[in-house]
Amino acid sequence: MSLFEKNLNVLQTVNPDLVRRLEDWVSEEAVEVLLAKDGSPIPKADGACLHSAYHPRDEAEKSVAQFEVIPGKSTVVYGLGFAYHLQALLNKGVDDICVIEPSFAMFHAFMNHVEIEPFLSKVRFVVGMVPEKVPTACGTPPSQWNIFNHKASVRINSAYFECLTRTVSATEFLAVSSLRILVVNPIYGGSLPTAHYCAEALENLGHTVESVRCEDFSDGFHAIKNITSDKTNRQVLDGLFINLMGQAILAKSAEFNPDLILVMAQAPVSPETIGSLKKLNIPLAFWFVEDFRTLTYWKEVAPLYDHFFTIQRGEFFEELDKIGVSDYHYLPQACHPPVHKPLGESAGDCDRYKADLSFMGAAYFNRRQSFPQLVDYDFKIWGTEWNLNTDIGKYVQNANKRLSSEEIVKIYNSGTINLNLHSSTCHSELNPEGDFVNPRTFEISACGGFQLIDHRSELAGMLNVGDEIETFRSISELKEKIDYYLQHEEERNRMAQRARKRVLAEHTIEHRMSDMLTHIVSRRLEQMTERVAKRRDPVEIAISQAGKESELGVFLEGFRGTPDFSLNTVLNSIEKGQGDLSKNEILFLMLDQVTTQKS
Amino acid sequence: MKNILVLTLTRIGDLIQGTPLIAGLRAKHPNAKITQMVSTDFAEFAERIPGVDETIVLNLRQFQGMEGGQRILWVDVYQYLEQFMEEVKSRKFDLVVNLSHSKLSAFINLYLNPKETIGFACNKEGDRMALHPWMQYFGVEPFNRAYNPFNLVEIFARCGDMDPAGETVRIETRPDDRASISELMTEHGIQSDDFLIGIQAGSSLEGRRWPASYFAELIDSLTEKLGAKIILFGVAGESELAGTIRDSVKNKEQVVDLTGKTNITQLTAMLPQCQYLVTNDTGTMHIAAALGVKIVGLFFAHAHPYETGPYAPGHLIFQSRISCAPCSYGVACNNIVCIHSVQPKQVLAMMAEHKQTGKWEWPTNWDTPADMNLVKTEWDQEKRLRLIPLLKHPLELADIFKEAYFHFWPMVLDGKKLGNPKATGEQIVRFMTEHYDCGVWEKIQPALKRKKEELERLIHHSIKGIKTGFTVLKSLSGKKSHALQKLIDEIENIDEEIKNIGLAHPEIKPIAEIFSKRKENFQGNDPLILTKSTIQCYQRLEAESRELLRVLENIEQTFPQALQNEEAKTTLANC
Repeated sequence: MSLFEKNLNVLQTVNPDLVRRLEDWVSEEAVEVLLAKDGSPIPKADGACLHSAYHPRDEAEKSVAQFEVIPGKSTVVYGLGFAYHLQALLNKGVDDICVIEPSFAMFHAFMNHVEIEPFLSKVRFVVGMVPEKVPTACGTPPSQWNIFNHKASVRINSAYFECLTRTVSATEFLAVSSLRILVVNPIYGGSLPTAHYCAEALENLGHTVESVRCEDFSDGFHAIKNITSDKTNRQVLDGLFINLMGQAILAKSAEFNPDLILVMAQAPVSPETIGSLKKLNIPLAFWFVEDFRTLTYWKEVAPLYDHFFTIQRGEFFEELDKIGVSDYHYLPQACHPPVHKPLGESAGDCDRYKADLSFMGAAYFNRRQSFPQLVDYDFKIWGTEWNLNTDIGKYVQNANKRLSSEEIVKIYNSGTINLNLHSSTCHSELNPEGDFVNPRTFEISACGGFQLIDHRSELAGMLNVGDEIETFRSISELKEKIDYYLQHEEERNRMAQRARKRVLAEHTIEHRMSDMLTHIVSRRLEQMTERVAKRRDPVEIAISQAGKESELGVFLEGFRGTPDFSLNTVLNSIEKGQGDLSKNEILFLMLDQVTTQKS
Repeated sequence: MKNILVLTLTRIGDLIQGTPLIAGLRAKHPNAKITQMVSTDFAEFAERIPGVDETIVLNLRQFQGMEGGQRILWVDVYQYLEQFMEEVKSRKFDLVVNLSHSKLSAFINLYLNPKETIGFACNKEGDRMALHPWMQYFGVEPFNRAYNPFNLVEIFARCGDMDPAGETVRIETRPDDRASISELMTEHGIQSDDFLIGIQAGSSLEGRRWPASYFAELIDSLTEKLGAKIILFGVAGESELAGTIRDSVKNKEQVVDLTGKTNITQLTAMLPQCQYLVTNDTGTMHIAAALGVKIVGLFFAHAHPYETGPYAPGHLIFQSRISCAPCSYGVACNNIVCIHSVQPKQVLAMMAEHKQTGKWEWPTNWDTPADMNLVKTEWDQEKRLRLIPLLKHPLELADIFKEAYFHFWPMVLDGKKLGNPKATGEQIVRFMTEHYDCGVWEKIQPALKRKKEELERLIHHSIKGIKTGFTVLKSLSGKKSHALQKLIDEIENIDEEIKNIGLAHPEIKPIAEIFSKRKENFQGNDPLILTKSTIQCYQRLEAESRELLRVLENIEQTFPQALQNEEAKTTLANC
């Protein structure tokens, strides 16, 4: 057994995820390994040795000599090399170390030449992670980090560690700052619930969130098509409607004065509106939760946003580069556990939703084509746009009526097998090149449901295929797996439970929003810091105007830290109160009457 | 009683309509200092209110247009209110009389914490209260307008426990008032022997205004047929309206536009130069009434002569009689058609007759217009001001109840019974037969019977309430808390029944609502006191329901005979 294999076996017991990723890693360039004068192996990268070519252990001892251990803080080491400095730190009595190494090539070389076992009990290895993920992977918040720089590693990975430094600062900033965030919702469609989840998740993260509820205008928007069948005239009306929505978004932004505007895919935001919003000097982010090949409006808008988030990368990123998008970032879909949850015995009418095989989704081409092959199962289809007069029409349960999130959760909870076939407008079964993962994947898992999902290239990075989730690459394979899993309840349940655990740990909208904010703030930390600092607490303004020592000033002290403080905050607190009114409260109630009369 | 504060923050009309009350307070407490609190808009006029020693002005106008900028406006307003209220509080008022419905006035009263309050108030927890039976009535009146026979003057006066008989509204005139208008009169060519008619075409609420074209038409007739010279009164904001009217009339030289050109002193001096004032329901109307100018009042939209008509005998009031008039409380009408119920020729005819005979009489050869009420103000035998219908409209149930309440409330709100219900019934029927077309009595009688049945139900529920109350008292001495809760639920059900009877039968709703108002005044958490107060409320409801029932029974009994008498009179007359 080679050292690498031995190391892999040992690592498997404490960090199987890292092992899997290491195995998946495709070697692009190997790290050159030399022997130092004392015979120790040392890595060489970018033409430079990462440790002393003479006595790497002595060098390491010297480098850690000045490092001060701070009680209560975790030691975080930037750069692995061949871990001579790690050993020196351990020798110094430091335990509970987290080492951050950007390069799998370096880690691979390390595993080939250094025995990992002595480190494993005290060192956590964070390898090949995008900087935004590192703070979570480290397990301790950056504010608790005591950083040791392995200078040679930091030098050859300067871009990565600079980015990590910014990310760490952003994370620290976000841990103590509440931003004001405006979410612009779409008028309707699949991204609307996501917009709601984003707003809730951002609030849960401690930010002050308001939404432009474009969905409130949906009846009006849809009514336009009943006005005229003349396409040109309809386009004019649609344009005017979009302009109106743009003005509404501007009005809301002007009043709320957010630190960040998050526009959801399909939101009615025209290039003109983006131009006007930019004049407010508020960062604009867009989450394009769409397939870039199917919906191409990103070409017009992506370059206009400050931050563009996508559920696809690779080829999409190349396309975004081509059109000059300055900042884009991969941000996959996710679930929202407050909504997507196991219902247990509490769901009274779940029988209606019970089926061996259950599918929830719209009648896209590939589904229409392939589902007739599944009619030999106890199959229930839920969703919209199905032709009820076809072979599969009678399997459609809801007569194409739109389903609420609550109902969808019942469906995910009740299906023995939830079929998750990503939509395609041009494949008769599934898209062999499909990359992104739909939200349904995470939502079913969050509900504790078992699913069979078509193969997607991004899936393996998010859920462990075969262990946490089962895939298929054709409808015939799907049928085989349906047959198998219908017979193996225990396996189904075990897999579903693992998936749920993973999804809750890594794939919630709250995780995504946290990543998104970290990404944005890391790129505009100064601006955000200034905005938050400049935003004087309205309570503070009121207190200083009233006089700190005045009765009013003293009374208002009790409202410090109240988000979005205003006169109404005080008035609401009085309404909620009980017992005799105080002098201040009576005056505030008088003030309420006076201001009401004035308005 | 040394120190009295009267809160009048709402309207100029309230200031004037409160003058008999202030006179009453002055008579009752000759040595007390009477202070009034008014808002800036009425500060100048408030100096004219007789019997007041000092006026305090709540100056919120200073903050108008101050939004924006670096400062938080509400902090400034708060600090002003604090300073203002502390100063007022330092005067240690023994009695606050609050003539406003507003929450602001209730909070002011709470802040001042006087020994005694009359009027709208709130308790220490901020819950609404109405202190004084007539203020409780004042609280329910806006929601029962069709059944209210009382002018605010009478309601306010009775709040001060004074008899309004013979009282009129007053404002102070000063020796130098006349001098203030000599220049104005010269400038506009007004001679002392001109036959002057004042017109107040504006009003604070636009919807209450008679159309400018009707005013113009009336002015043309008044100038042409009666040889009148017209003075247009109003504030500066009404100049455009006055301009429109003046532009539309033929004899422009006979029209003097004084809108925005008179201060309070000049207005006070100028109004008495006029023989008549044709006016919407306005502050100017009340000033004119106080100065003895004959008023031709035009009441539209929310304006209701029974509440805010000129309080003195000898005036004339036109009002629309369409089904929605007057507007309900809080309604903002978007199609004010009631202003067309009164036509310029009708106003002219009445004024021409009055100029000639000194009487308000509808032309005998004219039909009774179904959509118009026409009333004159007159003292009755007891010197209480009445609105006397000049058009005999078919009698309606509401007319009977309104008239019954005219006799009923002053007695029962004082905790008394009608001395001679039979005589009262006869008095009411006499008023009905004199001023209404009572040929429809047979149609009304079954409806009246039904209302009597509902009063019986009110009595039944109040007795049930009394019994339950006494059971609660008994159970309070025991320890059966579950039984107590059941009784409390029962009381809630009884109250719900009482409320529902009122809702379903608007004619008796004032009684049901007064009952609720009284319950709002309950203080503290002592179950014994609360239960005793509850029992008292049911007892009063029972007594009041019985009293009204007696009145209605007497009306019912008296009507047939009265109708026969009327018939006989008519037959005789025809012979």
